[in-house]
Parts: sequence; structure tokens; C-alpha cells
Amino acid sequence: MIIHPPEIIKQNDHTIVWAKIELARKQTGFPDYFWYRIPDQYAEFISLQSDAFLLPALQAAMHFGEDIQVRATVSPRLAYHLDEYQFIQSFNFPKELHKVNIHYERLAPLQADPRAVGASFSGGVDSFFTLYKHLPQNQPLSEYQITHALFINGFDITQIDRVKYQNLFLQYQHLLANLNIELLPLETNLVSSVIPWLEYRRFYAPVLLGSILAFGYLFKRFILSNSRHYTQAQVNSNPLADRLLSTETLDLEYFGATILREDKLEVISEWQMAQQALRVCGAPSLENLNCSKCEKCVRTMLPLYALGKMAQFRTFSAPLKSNRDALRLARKFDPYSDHMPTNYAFFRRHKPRLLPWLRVAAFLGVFRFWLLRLLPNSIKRWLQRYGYFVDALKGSFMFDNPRIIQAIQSQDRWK
Amino acid sequence: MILHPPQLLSENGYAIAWAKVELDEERENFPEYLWYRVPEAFGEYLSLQSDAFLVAALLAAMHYGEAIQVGGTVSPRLAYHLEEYQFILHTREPVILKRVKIDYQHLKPQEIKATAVGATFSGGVDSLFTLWRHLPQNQPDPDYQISDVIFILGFDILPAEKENYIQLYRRYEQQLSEIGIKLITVETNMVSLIHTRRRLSALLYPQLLGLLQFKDKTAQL
Repeated sequence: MIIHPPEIIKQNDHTIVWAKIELARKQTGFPDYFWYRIPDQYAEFISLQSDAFLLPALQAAMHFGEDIQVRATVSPRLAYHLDEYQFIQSFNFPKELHKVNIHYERLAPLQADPRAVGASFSGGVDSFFTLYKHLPQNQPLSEYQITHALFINGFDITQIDRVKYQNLFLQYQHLLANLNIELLPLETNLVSSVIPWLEYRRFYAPVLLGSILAFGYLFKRFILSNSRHYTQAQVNSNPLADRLLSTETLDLEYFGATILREDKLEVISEWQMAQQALRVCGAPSLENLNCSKCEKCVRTMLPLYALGKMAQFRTFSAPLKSNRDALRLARKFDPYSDHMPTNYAFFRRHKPRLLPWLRVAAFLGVFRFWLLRLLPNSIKRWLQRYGYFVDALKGSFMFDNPRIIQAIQSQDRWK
Repeated sequence: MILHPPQLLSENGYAIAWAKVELDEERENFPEYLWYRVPEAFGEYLSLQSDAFLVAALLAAMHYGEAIQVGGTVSPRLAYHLEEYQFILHTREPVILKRVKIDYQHLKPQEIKATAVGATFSGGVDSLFTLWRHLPQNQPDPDYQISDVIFILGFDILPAEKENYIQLYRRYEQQLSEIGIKLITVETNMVSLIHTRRRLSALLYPQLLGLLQFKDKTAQL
């Protein structure tokens, strides 16, 4: 794999930084270019180091088993740690990721003195919790108070949901401005280097990390919200691995791995901003951010119900109103998810009388779970016409933008 | 536990950084002072932040379940991470180590910009391997080429074995100087905070971190 030097182009008040990625063995559907697009007003913060391209390319190279040649500048600190980073990833995912060699053309730190303290923001439980804990009233260390948040189009929102992203961005921008935090928009196609080769919910880290490193002149520190507790199975984004990706000018910090998701919910359940804007699922509707049907909605709504806070959270299309509602939804628990026992433990503390019934409902849900799993593919295909069993992430150009690709192709010197 | 502000003193050609450690309850054989001693030539590198003392004392406080009051100045970055650090230690040893509260009087980064690249050195397999991999011929990045190593009396060599330590020091110092690496001797009593209370093998690493905090010029590795 060759990672060509990053370049910049301007397009409709936006700046695009991109790099050509050449695989030694062509993979159908793998993007020829990785790109990040931001409004022009933030262009001064964009770095032309290869760091932001190397990380997402590395995961793909490790998956395809290709050595990498980086033809532009990389941070020496990052380069030093990538050997260990690869070891951790290949140790955790021995079937999917393998160690590869990386040849650097030039190693030099970014000449920058960034000032901002950033966090990613999706509107979910983890990012709300991280934000809350790093507000001046909760975090006395000014060096750890968040000044900027990054909201990525192309991370958990697809290109097809562009309008949804814009609306959410405006809503979150307004809310965060009240906290003196600037919300930054960024669009990228990095997910198309992950799907369909790797399971996105376990291999999303490079998308986020690449986006952070793209803002080389802005962030001196970035606080990543951990979605997994230390005692739970880790995904490819975890405190041990990601902290190794700091550079001379950016400290990557991890937050939230010591607290269970249900306990985070309890902390933010009193916060009006979270009550107004919590978004945990990918429902397309804008009226209500959460479908109230999917597994993720279920494991968010049940703890809120146990706390007696469900009514305050106005972003769910069908909030739980009674024990009966809660038990009806419990059938959608994923019996193999490690969130199930933590939800039970939470109920034991906050609504113990409902717990035995919840267990029974979840047990009955196991039959539903397996029935759906074992349904023949022909029936699944037939049901797809009615919107069931559709993987919204696997459509073409879900995470890429043909207009941007066209603009890049017109500038591509290596064609 | 009260961790008093560190102080410096000079004695017989040595510089000593020390801090008084007060437990809420009296414990048998627990030292009243935590100290680090280096030859006077290296005295200028000693930091008067509480970082080196806090990291070493934390394990004892966690063992006894005593909250800590830190009298001196602590690095904000260190303070930010100590909660998670305690969580990890507690998760691994839930019975022996409990999470404790830490009250900081002053949080401020050290102002001196450290320049050296350090490593610990005991002459063992791991330290020789680390050293080898960070020599200029094996590590092209000068920011990761080791310039100084610390050799500790009171880590795996106990104070009673001082003769042995001196002999090893002489041998290692000459060999290391031939490859352009400075060997710094450090003597400390920090193991006595925990020794006889915990298995020695399980306490070495947090204690070692105390030293890395302490030597501001050798904090890179």
C-alpha cells in the first residue's frame, strides 16, 4: 500500500484535504482516496502531515496484509508507537488484523502549538457523559476542560442522511454554544475503507482517530469517550491502544472506561441538555432521535425507566410508561451482549421488584433472537422489501461522496 | 495519609529529596519519611514537585484505605489520570488495594522542560533489551535514543547489599559510558512503604514509576 502525500482543494466554501491510497492488490470498492472536508473557516487548523491518513490506512493494510510506504511526513512519536499499536490490535483480533511493515519517507513533528481541548460528540450516552465531566463546574483542571467538540458526518451518520446530519449539527451547535464549546463539523469517507471488509461496530477507531489527527493545528489534547468498561470485551478503540497514537503536539486521552454505561446514564439523567438531545440510535426520523425499538434504544430506555427519568427524555419516539412496556421491550435484549448483565445489576439497585420479570421477558426474547438469526436468507431477502433485515451501512456511496471524488480526481497528479 | 511538601538537603556529597508521610493510624515499620538520594552532581535534576512521592505513597494509601492529602505541588496530568490508575490497580487486586480519595493543595505542571531520554537499568534481560533497541544504530529517531539510565539501590538490590551495588555500578558505569550513556545512581527507601505488607514482585512497578516521576530529566521512557 502506498499513501501519497496529502493535498488540499477548495470546493464551495469548504476545504478538502485528501490523499491517494494505492493498494498493491486492488480490492473492489476500496476507495482510491481518503478525504476530510471542513468549512473554510477551519481550514487553518488542518494538518498536511500524513498522520491522519496513516491510521485509517494502517487498519486496512493490516487486514489485507500489505506493507505500507508513506510518502509524506509522519510524527516520530506516532511512528515509534505504531509497532506496539499493531501488536495490540493483532493480538486482540488475530483473524482480522496482522502486523505489517511501515516505511516512512520522512519523520518530523508537526510545527504547531495547538491550544484546544477536544472531544468527539455524537449526542450519545458516552459523549454526553464525557462532556458533562469536563465542564468547568465538574473538572477543575483547566487543561482538561473541553473547548471544542467534533461532530463527524460519515462516522455513525451516512452520506444519505446528510439532511439529518445538518439538522443535528445545528441543534447541537446551539446547545454546546451555551456551554462555550464550539462544535466543529467534519465530513469524511473513511468508513468506506472498513465496510464491508470488517465489522464496523468493532473496527471504527481509525475513522475517529484520523479525523482528530486531521485537525493537527487545533487540538493539543483530545478526550476520547470510551464506550466499553474495562471489564467488558474491548473493541479496536480502547485505552491501551489508542493512547499510543498521540503525537508531539496532541495528547490522546481516554475517559469513561471505569464507569458502566448505565451509571453514566444515571449521571446525565439529571442534565437538561441530555434530556433534550440524547441520541443513541441511527433512526432516520428527525422528530424523535431514537426509534425506541432497536437493541441500543432498549438498553438505554430501561435504565432511564428504572431511575424514573424516562418522561424527562423527550428524544424517544415511544418512551416507556409502565412496567408492561418495559417487559415488552426486554425481549429485544441481545442475550450475548455484555450490556445485559449490567442492565440487570442496575435494576437490582434501582427497581429490584421488576428484575425477576425482566429476566423472564429477556429469557423469552432468546427464542425471538434465535428465530431471527436462523431465518432462511430467502425469507430475509423477501422481508427486505418491507424494510426489515436491511443493512443501511452496506449501500454504495453510503460513506463516500461522488462530487468530492470528482473534485479530487481532477487534481490527482498520480493518476 | 498526609504527604507533606518535599524538601531538599545536601549531605556528604549527596543531594536528598524527602517528604514526611503521616498515616492516619500508626502502622508497624512504616517509614516516617520517604526519600531519594543522588550524588550531588545530579542534585540539580531533583524535582520538588510531590509527584515522585505521591506515586510511591499511593500504593500504601490504597493498601490501608486511607485518603491522601498532598501538601506539595502535583502535575495536573498525573492527577487527572490517578483515578483511572487506581481503578485498574483495584480491579486487579480488589481485596488488597482500595480506591482512595486524593486532595491536592496545588496542581501545577513542572516548569522545567526535560531534555534527556531515560530508562531504568538493572542489568537484567528487559533493561538490556530496551537499551539495545534504543541505541542510535537501532533507533533512528533521536528523540527515542536513550541518553541516561537510572540504577536504583532499594529497588531489587536492598540497602544491605550496598557493596554488591557499588561493584555493579562501577562495572555498568564504565560499560555504558563507552556507548555514550550516563548511569545515574539513585538510592531510596520507597520499598519500605510496602515491603512486608505486599508481595515484592507485585509492588515493584508502581514504586518504579515514583522514580521516573522524580527524575525530571529522565522521564521519557
